[in-house]
Amino acid sequence: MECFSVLYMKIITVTEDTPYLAGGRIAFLKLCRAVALLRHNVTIITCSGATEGVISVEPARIVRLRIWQTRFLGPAQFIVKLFIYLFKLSSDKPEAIIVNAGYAVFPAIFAAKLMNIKVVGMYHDALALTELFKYAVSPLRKFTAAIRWFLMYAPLRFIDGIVSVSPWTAERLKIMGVKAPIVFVGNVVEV
Amino acid sequence: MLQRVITVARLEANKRPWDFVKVAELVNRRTDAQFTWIGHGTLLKNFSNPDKPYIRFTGKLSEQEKTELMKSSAVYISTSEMEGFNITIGEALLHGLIVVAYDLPVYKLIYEDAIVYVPLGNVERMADSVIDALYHKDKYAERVAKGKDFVRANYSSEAIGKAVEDFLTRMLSR
Repeated sequence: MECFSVLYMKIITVTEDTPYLAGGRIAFLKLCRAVALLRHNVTIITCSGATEGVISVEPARIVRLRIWQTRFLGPAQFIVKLFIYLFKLSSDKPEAIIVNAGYAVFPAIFAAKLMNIKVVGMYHDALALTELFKYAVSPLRKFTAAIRWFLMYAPLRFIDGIVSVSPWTAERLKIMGVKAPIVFVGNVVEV
Repeated sequence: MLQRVITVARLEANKRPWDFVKVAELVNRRTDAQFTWIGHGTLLKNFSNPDKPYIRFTGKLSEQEKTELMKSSAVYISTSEMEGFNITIGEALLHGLIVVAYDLPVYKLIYEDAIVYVPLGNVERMADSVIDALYHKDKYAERVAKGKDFVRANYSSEAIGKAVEDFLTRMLSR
């Protein structure tokens, strides 16, 4: 077995942001900060959105890719910009990418595979498409939910590891057929 | 002084804001309590001007404003029917609030016995539990103190950071 000897890792973390604050995104940013506080070199790549100015991530660094705050076009713009940004990193590649569950999973995995580095997903829940549909009140929202589900869960077989916020999520992911190692870590809770 | 019952959540259907309004109505039939919901969401327009003076939907607030309101509250409730973790319950416990929430399987794995559980969708039971919590705080003091210690020990920045670091180190060694 090859021994991994780097004391402090260079880690890229990726999350979407939206006009609404959501617990999952706040949790992800706090997790990035927690890892950076252990002296790892953490750079968070996200887009414009509600977490701006709300959460301090220092000593992690944050790069916000500017996007339109609109449905479909905003996420599409982020996916393209994110992929280009990650691709540019290939000359100075990190040890790993940690991606928050959402529509950034697909481009993050794709970029990680191209760079030949490990990619870890942070999953807050593991929902069937029918469960997502339950809360989609219009056909347009159902369509959005289907795209989101596909981008979040379809690439799971290519992921190298999963950080789960609860044992419940970990179990559901195993039932969904995830073979990658899963660890339950919880979320950072502080006031 | 009027006691406050608070929740922090996105205003979306799975958080069941209609249950929050119903619980507020049921409680205020028997006693006076201010109900405050902090959080933005697609449903905010449906709740921006509730006709009951004891219910307030604030929309998005700064962390400082949120903290001030949490600290001056007595009880935290969660009417959510689906959660991965629910960080704000942990924050409420750290502020020393009594937490009343729907009995979701995930909570027992995350917060164990720190929460006062109510069957999902049972607004009458939730109203009863809120009133009991408002008027018998001593009864819940030990539960809240244990919850606070549990959250501090398991979900601190250091504990989570180390868990992720260990996992990454193991993965990169493979």
